[in-house]
Amino acid sequence: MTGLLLTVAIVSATVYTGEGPPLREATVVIDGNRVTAVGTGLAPPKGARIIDARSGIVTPGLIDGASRVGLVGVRLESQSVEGTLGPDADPVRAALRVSDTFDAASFVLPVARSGGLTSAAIIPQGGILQGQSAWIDLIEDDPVRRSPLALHVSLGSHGSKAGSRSRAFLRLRQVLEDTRLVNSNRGLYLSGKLRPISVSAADLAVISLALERELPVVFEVDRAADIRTVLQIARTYRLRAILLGAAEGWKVADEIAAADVPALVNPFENLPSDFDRLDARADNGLLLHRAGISVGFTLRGAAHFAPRLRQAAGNAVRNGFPYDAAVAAITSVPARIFRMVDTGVLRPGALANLVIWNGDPLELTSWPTRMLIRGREIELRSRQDQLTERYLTLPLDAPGGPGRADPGPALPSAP
Amino acid sequence: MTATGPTLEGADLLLRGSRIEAVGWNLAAPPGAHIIDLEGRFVTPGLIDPHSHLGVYPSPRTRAHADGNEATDPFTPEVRAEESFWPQDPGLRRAVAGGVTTLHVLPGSANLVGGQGFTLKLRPAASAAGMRLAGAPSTMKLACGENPKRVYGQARKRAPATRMGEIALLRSKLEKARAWAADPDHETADEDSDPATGKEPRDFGLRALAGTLDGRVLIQNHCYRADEMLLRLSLFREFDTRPRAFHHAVEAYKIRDQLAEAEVGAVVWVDWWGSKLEMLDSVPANAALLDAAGVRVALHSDSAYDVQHLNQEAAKAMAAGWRAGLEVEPEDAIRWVTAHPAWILGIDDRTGTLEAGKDADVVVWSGNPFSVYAHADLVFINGGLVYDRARPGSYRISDFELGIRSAP
Repeated sequence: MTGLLLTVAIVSATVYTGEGPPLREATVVIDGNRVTAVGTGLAPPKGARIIDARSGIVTPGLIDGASRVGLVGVRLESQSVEGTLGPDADPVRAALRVSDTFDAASFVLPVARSGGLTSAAIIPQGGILQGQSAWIDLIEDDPVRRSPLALHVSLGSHGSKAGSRSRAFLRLRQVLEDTRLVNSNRGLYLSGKLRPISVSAADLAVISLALERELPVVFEVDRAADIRTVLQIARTYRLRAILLGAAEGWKVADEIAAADVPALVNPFENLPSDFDRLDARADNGLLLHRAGISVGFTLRGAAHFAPRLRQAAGNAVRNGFPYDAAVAAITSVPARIFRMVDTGVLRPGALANLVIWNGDPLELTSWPTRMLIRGREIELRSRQDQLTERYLTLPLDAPGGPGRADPGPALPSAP
Repeated sequence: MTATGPTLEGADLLLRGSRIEAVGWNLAAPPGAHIIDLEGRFVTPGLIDPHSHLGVYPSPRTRAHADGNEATDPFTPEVRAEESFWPQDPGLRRAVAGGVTTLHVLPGSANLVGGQGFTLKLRPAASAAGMRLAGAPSTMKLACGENPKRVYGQARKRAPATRMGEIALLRSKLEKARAWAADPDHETADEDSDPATGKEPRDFGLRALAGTLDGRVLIQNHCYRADEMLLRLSLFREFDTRPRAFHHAVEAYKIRDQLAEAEVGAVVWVDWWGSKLEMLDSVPANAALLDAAGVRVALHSDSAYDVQHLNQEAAKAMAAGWRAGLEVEPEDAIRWVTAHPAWILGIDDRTGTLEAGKDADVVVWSGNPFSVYAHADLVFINGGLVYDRARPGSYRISDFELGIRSAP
C-alpha cells in the first residue's frame, strides 16, 4: 500500500472512543497513522482531507481477541488451514507461531473487514500447548504488530480430543515442571546430563517466556471446575493468565476476579453444547462484568464468521450487558487484555484504526461505510461484493453458446 | 406484521381456540375473551425453521445422541427423522424463546437420499409423535456435492466417490422407484409377500422414494453450487418431478431466474460460507436477490444457535439487499422466516401468516423484530401460550437439564 499519509478529519460523527459514552457532533483528527485529536465541535485543521461521516457513528476498528482470520481459507481443505497440526501430532507444540503462516492476502480478510474488524489476535488450534498467537491488523502490508503475543493452552475436552481432560492437565503440569527443572539446571541440560524431559528445546524457550511473565498464557477452558484448576496453576507458576471461552465462568466469577484474570467470552454460547459447558448461559459475560472482570467478546476462533462479532455484542446487550461496555468489549478491552497500548481506542496518540457506520454498529441493519487502518482508508469490497455485482443482472450465459439448460417438458404444477 | 402484505399499525388480533379468527382494526372481543394489551409491540407469525437438526443432533453433542445420519448406505429413504428425534433436546426450548413455532427436522447430508424429514410444532411433549404437525406433507432429504462423496468415496472407498457417481446412482435408484410405482401389482404383492414363496417384502424405501415422483413427498435437496442445482433439475425432469426446494443453495442467486421459472424454492443462510469449497461463493445478498427474482426464499438455521435468532438473520439478509442496491421491505423479509418456509414445507394452508383460519402460531416481540435487541416476549402455538419471557418457567427446561443446569 502506497500513498501519502495526510492529515484527515472525520467530521459530523457520533464517536465511540472505546472508553465510555459517545461524543456527539464530534471530529476525529488523524495525522499519519495516529489519532491526534478527538472532540465535540472540534474544527478540522487547515488543509486536512475532510471525511464527512454524515451523522454516522465512528468506532475504533473492531477487534476479536481470538480469531482465525488469515489462517483458514476453506476449512475442509487442509492445504488452506494453518496454525494447526494434523490429528496425530504431538499436542505439545508451544514453538508453533501462527505469524509464520498468517496470510494477509487471504480472501477471508475483506469479508472480516466488511463486519468492521480491523485487528485481531490470531490463535493456533488443536493440541494442548497449542503455540503462540499474534496480533495483526487486517491489512496486506506489514500486518503483524506483535508476535509472539501469547502462549495458548487448551484444556477441558478441547485439549484432550485424544483422551481425558486429566491427560491435558497432566501434560501441562509435566511441561511446566520440566521447564522449571531445565531452567534451574541449564548446564546439565546443555551437556546432556539431565534426565530425559518431555519438551523440545524450542518449546522450552517459549514456555520459559511464559514462566518469566514475558508472555501471557491464554487458557481455553469452559467448565467451572477446570477454570478453578487453571487459576490454581496460574497462581503456582505465577503465570499471566487470560481465560478464553469460560462458558461456566459465571459460577466462579468471584475467584476469577480475585485472581485479576481477564476473560474472552462468546456471548452466543447459551447451550450445553458439550460436557464442558453444561451450565452455559446467555448472560455469562454480564455476570463476569459485574464481578469486576475485564470481559472481551470473541467468536472463539472464527474466520468466516468474523463479521458476526458485532452481532455477538448486540446479543450481549440484548441480554443485559451495558451498551458502552459492549462496544468496549469488541474494541478497547481485547487490546488492553493483550497490552496492545493505543489500540482499540480513539484518543490522541492512538493508532488510527476506525470504522464509520451508517447507524448503530451493533444493529444488523447498519453496516460499515468507510474504514481506516493505520490512518489509511481501506476499500470495503470483498469477493462477496464482486460476486454480487457480477450477478446483479442475469442471465450470464454467452449468446450463441450452448446457453441455458434445455427447459425440457412442462413440469407438473406444484403439489 | 402479517407476512401477507403491509404492516397493520395499531391493529388487533383475535385468536379463538387453536386458530386465528380475525386480524384487523377495532375488532370486537367476544365476551369472556382474555385481552392482552400489547401497547404498540410488534406481532408476527411464529417463525419457521425449514432446516434443523434439533433432536437428531441434540445438545450436548455426544456419540450417544448423534442420530442424524444413517450413514450405512447412500440410500436410506425408509428412515424418518421423527424416529431419531429426542424430545428432551435442550435446544428446543431456546428455539421457542427465539420466536420459532415450527421446525422441519431433517436427516443429515451424508447420504444421497438421507431419509424423511419431520415437521413439528414446538410444544413440549413426551415423544416426537406428540409434537408432529399432523397433516404436514412428507418430505425427503436428498444431498449432492461434497458430503456423500466424502462419507462414502473418500472415507469408505465405495460409491459414490465423485459427483458424476452421485448423479448416476441417484438416477438408477429413481428408475427403480418409477418401476416400482408403475407395477400395478406392487401393493398387492406387498400384502402377499412371503419369504417361503420368494415374494419380495414391502419395500418402504422404494415406496417413499416413489412418492417423490408423484409429488406426494416433497423433495428437500441439500445442494450448494449453481451448476449442480441445474444438474439436479434436469435429472428430476427425466422423472417428471422436481424438488420443492434446494437447501443451503449458496449459489442460488446465480440461477435465480431459472429457479423462479421452475417454481423451486431456496432455503439459504446469510453469512455462512467457506467451510467447504462448494460454499465459497456464498453472498449475504443471496436471499434478497432471490426474492427480487420471484423465488420463494426461506432462511434456515441448520444450527442450535442460529435457530434462536432467525429474526436477526432476516435483518442481516435484508440489510445485505439494501447494501447491494435492492429494494427490500421488512414486509418482504419477514416472509423469509414465515410464509416462504411454510410453502416450502407444504404447510402454508396451516401456518406462516397471520390470517383468519390459520393456526394461531403468533409471536409478540419486545420491539421491532429486525432489531438485534428484540426479544420474543410471548409465543403462541395453536393458540396456546407456550412461552412467556416474563415467566422463565413457562417453557420448562428439558429433563436432561434438570439437576445439571443451575442457570434459570
